[in-house]
Amino acid sequence: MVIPNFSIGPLHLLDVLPYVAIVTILGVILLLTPFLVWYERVALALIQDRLGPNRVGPRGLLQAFADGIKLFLKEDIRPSAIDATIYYAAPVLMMIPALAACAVLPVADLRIDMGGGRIEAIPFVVGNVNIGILYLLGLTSLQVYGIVLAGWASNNKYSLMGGLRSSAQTISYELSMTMAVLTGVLISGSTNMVEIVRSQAGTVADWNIAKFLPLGFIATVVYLIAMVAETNRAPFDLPEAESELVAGFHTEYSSMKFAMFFMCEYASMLVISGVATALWFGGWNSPHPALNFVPGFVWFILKVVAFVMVYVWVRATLPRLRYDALMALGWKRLLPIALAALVLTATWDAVRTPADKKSGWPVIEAPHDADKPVARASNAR
Amino acid sequence: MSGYIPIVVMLCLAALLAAVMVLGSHILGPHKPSRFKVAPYECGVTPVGSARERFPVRFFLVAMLFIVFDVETVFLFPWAATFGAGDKGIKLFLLGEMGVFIALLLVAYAYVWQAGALDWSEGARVQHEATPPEALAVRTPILFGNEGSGPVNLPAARPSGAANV
Amino acid sequence: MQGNSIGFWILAALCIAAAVQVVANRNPVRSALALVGVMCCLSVFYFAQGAEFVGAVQVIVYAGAIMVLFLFVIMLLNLGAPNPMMDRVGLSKPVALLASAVLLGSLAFAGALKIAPGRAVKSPVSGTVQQIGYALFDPGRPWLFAFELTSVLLLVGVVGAVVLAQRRSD
Repeated sequence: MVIPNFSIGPLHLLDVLPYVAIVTILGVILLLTPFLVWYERVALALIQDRLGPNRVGPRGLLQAFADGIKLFLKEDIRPSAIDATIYYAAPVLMMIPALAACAVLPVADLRIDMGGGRIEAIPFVVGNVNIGILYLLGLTSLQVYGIVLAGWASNNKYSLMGGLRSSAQTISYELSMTMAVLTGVLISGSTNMVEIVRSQAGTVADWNIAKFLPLGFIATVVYLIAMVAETNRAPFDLPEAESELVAGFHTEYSSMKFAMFFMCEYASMLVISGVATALWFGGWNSPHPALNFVPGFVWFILKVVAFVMVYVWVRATLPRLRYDALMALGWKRLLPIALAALVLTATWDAVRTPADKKSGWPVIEAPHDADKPVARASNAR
Repeated sequence: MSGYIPIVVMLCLAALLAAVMVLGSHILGPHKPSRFKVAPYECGVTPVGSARERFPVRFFLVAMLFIVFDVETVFLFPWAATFGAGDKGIKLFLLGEMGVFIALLLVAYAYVWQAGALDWSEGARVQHEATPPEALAVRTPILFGNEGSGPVNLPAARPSGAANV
Repeated sequence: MQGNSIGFWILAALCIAAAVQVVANRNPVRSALALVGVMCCLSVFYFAQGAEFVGAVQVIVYAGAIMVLFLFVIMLLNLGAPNPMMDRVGLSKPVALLASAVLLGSLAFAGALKIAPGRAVKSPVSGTVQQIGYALFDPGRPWLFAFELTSVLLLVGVVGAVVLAQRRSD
């Protein structure tokens, strides 16, 4: 499918494309969240052999919309002794990174006719930037503030405990996640999300999960475990363990603010599944060249949906961890495993590099020094 | 740098959306606060003391360790991104270079592990300090005005011999 | 170019407003939050200068890790109560005023003498992750030793944190 490069007045397609991506991605996330909630409830009901939502709309499909409207119109209770500014700011602070993180998620590669029969692959992404992965990790690390401030500002013991637990958990698993991501960066040789996905074109064997077997696979598993913990989902949902902490950090939140924490959870699920897809499972690439007739964004969506299904399946299957076991898993198991996978991948890569491979490293230029005349250092390599 | 402008737009849009949600529900929803409704939720029991209690030093320790390892990963990113571009000599050199760096951090990691800073189970080496009595003394219950009412006064129990009508 | 400098002034104003809040706000949690704002503004400045990696690291390390620790410490010491640090002024106020006057004066002096670069200087290396990697890890560069020393620094940091945290419970 080749799209001609056209322009309407002063607007060129390539300039407008990122903004089209913004609207599409935000729209999809906001519209998809109610369906995700519905899907989760139905899937859980199926697994637990009960009916699940089935009253509002066909097969209960509109249940989540009804819940959303209801929450939007509910009383906005302002608990006593809260720190009002921070209490109201916390859901906003949580929502911004959750929504904005998808800015670097590459959804598809569009083939655009640049004129004269020259066809270029232009990624459909909001920001095709060099530090894509770091941008994602940075925003994920900012999500901690929403949680910890919600817990602190609420003036509620459960909230505070939930917020603290959650922030400690999030930062602990962020480490393992970053280590796993580093293995992916090492395999692909880039921190740009688009380039990472492009480096995996071909068959399933070219996906990062299948490279350096079993190291790529191990790093993928570490990432997948850490991503469930990052999003505070079962079996790592200790911040909102209802049997001990009521509802954790959002105990005191009512109306839309409460719903926003939920939306953040689902948005994060989608984004982090998207990162897993792009980093390990080939992004928009089809599993085999014979299937290349299916457009890239279909593959991307299929893979993300598969991850969301795994999320729900895991939630229905695994019991919640104890807190000390949770921290031990993060710090004593995942972190060393991820680090070992990284170092071993690098070692393997170095060992199997043929001796006659040319270096891609740039020639060293003399350091900028005003006093000395500029001299070019010789480059032996 | 123009690649970042759409990202900035997206950040602003996300902030706007979130603000609209909070404000919208604040404006649209009814407001009928009552003393009991706005009280902190403590399973229906009268809340005791301030919720902003001090908490174990362990959380602080985790944040501290996180910083250290986070800085390590920051150094690893440029390393990982440039590793593949080198020839065999460069790759082996990079491996040794990062090996020394990681080895030193592994020493730190081993120290943290043996010091018990990663153990969260109760009864681990670090014992919680007992709450000092003066901290307990300031826990004054929040009064709701219904404290004196006590349980509903039921009629006194009749002697078992009384006639059951 | 015009758009860039407008962006710069807006951001500079935001950054300074946040920095003033850090100092002026009575509530330590809000001060810490304002500091997060300052960090994020600084990060945008780095991006605007082309130092993408440094900008991202600024958010990841400072805003994402160090400020979380600050918040934890504030909560740990329970400084976040509505009326926390009351004025224990004494000598601190005049000293602070004097120090800031000296700092401001020297900055103005440096600006007047054009010691500090008044114009934007094009950095010799662009700030992508790869460029940083090539510069930092190349054996022909002088920064290798400093990089290895960093790990010693981190080691000391870890040991210090554990010793401090466990001192009173032994």
